[in-house]
Amino acid sequence: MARQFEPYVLLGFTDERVVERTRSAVNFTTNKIGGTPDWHQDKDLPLTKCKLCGTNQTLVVQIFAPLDGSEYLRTLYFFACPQPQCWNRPESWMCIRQQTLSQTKPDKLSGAAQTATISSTSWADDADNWGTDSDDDEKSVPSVDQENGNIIFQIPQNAPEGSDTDDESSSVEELSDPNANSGGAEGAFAIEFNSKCSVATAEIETGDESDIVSIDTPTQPRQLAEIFSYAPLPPHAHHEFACSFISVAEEKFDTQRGAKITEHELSLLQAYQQSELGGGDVQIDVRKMKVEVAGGAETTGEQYEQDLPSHGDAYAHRFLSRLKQNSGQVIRYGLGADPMLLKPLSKQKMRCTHCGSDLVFEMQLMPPLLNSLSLLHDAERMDVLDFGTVIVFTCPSACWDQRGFQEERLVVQAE
Amino acid sequence: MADNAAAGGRGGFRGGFGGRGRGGRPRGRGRGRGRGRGKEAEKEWVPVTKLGRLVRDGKIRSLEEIYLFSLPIKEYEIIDFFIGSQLKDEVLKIMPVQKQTRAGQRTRFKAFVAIGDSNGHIGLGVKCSKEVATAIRGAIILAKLSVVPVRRGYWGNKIGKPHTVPCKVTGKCGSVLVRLIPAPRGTGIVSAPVPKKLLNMAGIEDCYTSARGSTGTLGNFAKATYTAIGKTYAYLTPDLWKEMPLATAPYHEYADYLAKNHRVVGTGLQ
Repeated sequence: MARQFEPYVLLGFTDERVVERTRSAVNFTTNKIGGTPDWHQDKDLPLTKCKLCGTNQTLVVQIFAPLDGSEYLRTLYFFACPQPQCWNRPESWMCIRQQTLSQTKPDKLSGAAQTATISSTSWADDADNWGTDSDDDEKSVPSVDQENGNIIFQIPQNAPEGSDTDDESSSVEELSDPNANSGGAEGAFAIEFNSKCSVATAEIETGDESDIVSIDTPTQPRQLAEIFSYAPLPPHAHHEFACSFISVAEEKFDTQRGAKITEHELSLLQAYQQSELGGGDVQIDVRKMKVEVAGGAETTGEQYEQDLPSHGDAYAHRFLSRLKQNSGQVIRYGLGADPMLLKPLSKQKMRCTHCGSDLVFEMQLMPPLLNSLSLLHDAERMDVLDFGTVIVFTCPSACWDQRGFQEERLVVQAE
Repeated sequence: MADNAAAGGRGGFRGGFGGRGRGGRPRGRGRGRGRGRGKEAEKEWVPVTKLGRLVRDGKIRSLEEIYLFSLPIKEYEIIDFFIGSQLKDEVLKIMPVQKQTRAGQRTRFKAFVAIGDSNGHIGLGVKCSKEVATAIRGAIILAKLSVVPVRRGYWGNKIGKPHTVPCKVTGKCGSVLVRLIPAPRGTGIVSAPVPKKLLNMAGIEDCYTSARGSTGTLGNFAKATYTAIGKTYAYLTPDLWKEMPLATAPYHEYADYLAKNHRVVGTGLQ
């Protein structure tokens, strides 16, 4: 009986960018990141302002989530203030719910598909794709010219083996910056190589400024403020995040992988077997990939131990481990499920301000979302928002008056 | 070409949220591009913490900068990013331990993994799990999260590279007390097998050790050694007595940043 009502969890992943061609497909039934909110019935609501600093809030995520058994088409809009001093504060976030009665009778599967196929107007035309989508791996490999003449080839990723678009867009962003370093060591190595190659001549060439001298002495360490420096944004401008679609998949945990041993672990175990500490405790069957460990606990006195990472934050460790099993997820949707927490929630019951019923967890925004956010008018800016997770609790009966919108309760947890 | 929705083409249906999940399927299809359920070998790292994002974007130049400001490292990929290629891991011990449950005794495997680059970094991870493979995997991750820098010094003349601990340091865990003593060049590591492995991985070439307590408990022995090695940078030796000018009191200047980002672990309800 309990099985039947067990809530399953859906995960949202960043999909491709919304470009001119696909802009017509975006309406209030689209799940998207950034852009401007697509209100129901095209009635523009006034821009929301941050309660802390008064700047206009930016749309972070728009999720279309109609409830089963309800005739309403329901959309959730998440707004946040992009100013650095307002990050991680619950007062700078807002979640608005809008819903309208659907014209057709709600048929669970075809209803949503109906609205979607009507809105899809583009055909598969990759000719002038901006290179962020690599579904087709026969496409030409884009190359990026760096300032010093190096040409970097972007390795095409095989679509079925699936790296997320998330990865691709992030790698493209990396390469598009001509000064991008892919690692500190690499830069230093290049500098040393240059200095070894420089030829010593009798004449001093005054115009030759390209010799790079490597210095071995340690430099003054940077201050914390340099690393974590965030310039505030102009307060009265209208900021917008670049818009992308969201694709949805079910949350799955790969339980099979747990039992199987990888080659690296096998080699570790073999080394352990040979070492003086291991001895005959371990029997490894390489063909069957099975390991058996003998030995008693009574003699050594070892006890079962809770694994606590050395940074001490058990909640964060659990959150991040679970997140990494489906890495790249930006939305976690599970109406009625348990939220993944970074900190314990306060015990007090949350009630809907309108109808008084107990609020229920619906969905949460996950940290990888921050990798997909960039300002539309200032694409170079690295950090535009920060949060650990943003959890929204909604009214289960979706109570609605004719005011046109309804605010939902948010919990913002910092890392 | 006509059936774009089925193919999930651009502008097509991407799957949707909603519904109470009464045994229902998610509306429509997702992209179905294999979100990487762990089968693929090396996927690109998607950072999930702010420090991870800074590291991936190249704003942090070295691991030492993170240590300098004592920023907590919550993602093991950060360590992999800086010194991953030089890190070597080793299993110190795997043993079955028994946990008393209502339904009798349940056996799990406890794995101790030490990780180090033999050049100034050492980490130790302990994990209990139902399967050996999971225990080792988890222990490797915990070991990477616990990587600390190791300070090396000289026994006598300051010629060549540092080769031994800078001073006598002790570490204690449970009843085990481990003492590391500087040794002249060429001595090697004079100790029991467990600390010897750890000291080798840390990059200490010569050291005398002295251990006391129930060193048969390998867990405590390894942890005591790890603590002792970690203390080398905590110890204020005379050559660090010189006063360095402080720009501003760090807690004063970054009070806002710390108030937001460094929260005391274990307290604070949302």
